[in-house]
Amino acid sequence: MLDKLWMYLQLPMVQRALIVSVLIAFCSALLGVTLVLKRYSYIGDGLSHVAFGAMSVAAVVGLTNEMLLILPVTIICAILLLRTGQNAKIKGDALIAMISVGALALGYLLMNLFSTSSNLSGDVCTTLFGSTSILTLSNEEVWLCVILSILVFIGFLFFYNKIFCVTFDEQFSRAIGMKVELYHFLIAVMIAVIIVLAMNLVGSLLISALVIFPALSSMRLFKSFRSVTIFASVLSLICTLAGIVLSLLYSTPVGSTIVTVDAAGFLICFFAGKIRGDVST
Amino acid sequence: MKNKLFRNLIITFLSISMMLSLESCGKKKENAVNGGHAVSSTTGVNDLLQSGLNEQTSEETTSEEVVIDFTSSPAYTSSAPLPSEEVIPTFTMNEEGVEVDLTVMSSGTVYSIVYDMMMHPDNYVGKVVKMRGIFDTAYDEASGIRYYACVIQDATQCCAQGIEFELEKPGTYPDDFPEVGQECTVVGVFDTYMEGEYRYATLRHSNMTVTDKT
Repeated sequence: MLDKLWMYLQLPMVQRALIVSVLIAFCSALLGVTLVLKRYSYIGDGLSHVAFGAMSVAAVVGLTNEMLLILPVTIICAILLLRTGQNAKIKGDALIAMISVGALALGYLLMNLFSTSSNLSGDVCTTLFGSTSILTLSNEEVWLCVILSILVFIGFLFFYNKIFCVTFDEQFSRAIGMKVELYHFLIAVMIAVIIVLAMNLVGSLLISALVIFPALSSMRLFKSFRSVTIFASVLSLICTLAGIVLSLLYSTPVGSTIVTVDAAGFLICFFAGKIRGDVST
Repeated sequence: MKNKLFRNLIITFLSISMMLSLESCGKKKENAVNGGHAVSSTTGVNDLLQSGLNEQTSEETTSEEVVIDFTSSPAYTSSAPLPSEEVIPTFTMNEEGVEVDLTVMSSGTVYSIVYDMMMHPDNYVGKVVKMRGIFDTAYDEASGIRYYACVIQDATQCCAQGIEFELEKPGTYPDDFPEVGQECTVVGVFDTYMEGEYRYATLRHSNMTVTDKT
């Protein structure tokens, strides 16, 4: 088995997949803690469906560069979802559900009505479940992912205190003169970027798992924001690597294998937390 | 005050950088879609025989003329230069003389390698390839040529990639061939050829064994 694994690791496409998946897993876990604490665990799912819908519209309209539509639409929706306060007519969770299913349905409808591909089911499957996208990345896409991940990481580090403040108490942040909207915008951009990138790794339907599982697992064991964030990132890296290796060795779909390993990681952390005295409750 | 301004500048810079970077990603991705078998435009089984490397070739031939010298066989040399920054997969020859043995790899890896073969065929020209997949065939009424292909699917079973093959000892269809959809193993030398303005990939001097007798 080790020989087989070594053989796979020699392949450039596998090396590229490992680099990109590690970076995406790391960044999504970083922001995942913030999202879970702000009770926006489902935002990743909603945004990925928005991205799916935007991609369908771009394909139907015939845009040569689909990202020109996908990214702005995803960012706008991210800002809308994050800005929705308690006084909104439609509450945050309802808005996410509405946008999520609406975009998904619209996207699939458009792809069916105005399909330009000969393999519609393949296209939909690839977008929803990641399929083998992660194993067919080009060098340019890898470099792009590296650059974006570094930017997200630097942004998170640089604004760590502000993000921490906005995450836990918006009112207090406003009271001390912080431009909460600006930081919401930054978080929204980072989330949108990660979501769009992560579509390659696990697909639209499974992105939420990358965001919430590591954070929730980490919260079973740690209390402080910093330790939860660090452990979530490390756990996410380990689970993603394990998921990819397992999918290579046992011919399973990459995205769903990673998510299953994440779920297993959560269970382990849950029981470990129980044994430690349920520190997180 | 200066601190605030600096932070705001950083935020704006990060946001714009991310957006611009992703837009450039889109351009690359779009090139891939136009240029070949991008994941978002995965082809169906029947299309594989029809399309082959059409789009990929049209892109390459516009920028650089590719000349394949079949007369120098079995070397199968190509004058097309390899992309300078491209990482070329290395394969070692096994006891059977096969360099790219796809039968010992997982379905996801096989799919990605075949995808790579379609995107960067020059890296594989002349290599002995062994693959196991589903037999398929198509008949071009205009030219009167029948094409045979071995098609593999990814782990999610939604995307398919295939390679055309030419048997060392051409038989008569359908008597000497398996039924469409039956599993077969093909060993042959990877090569490309021009047909019209398009470039196609094929396994020459192939031997096929039916591994699924059902």
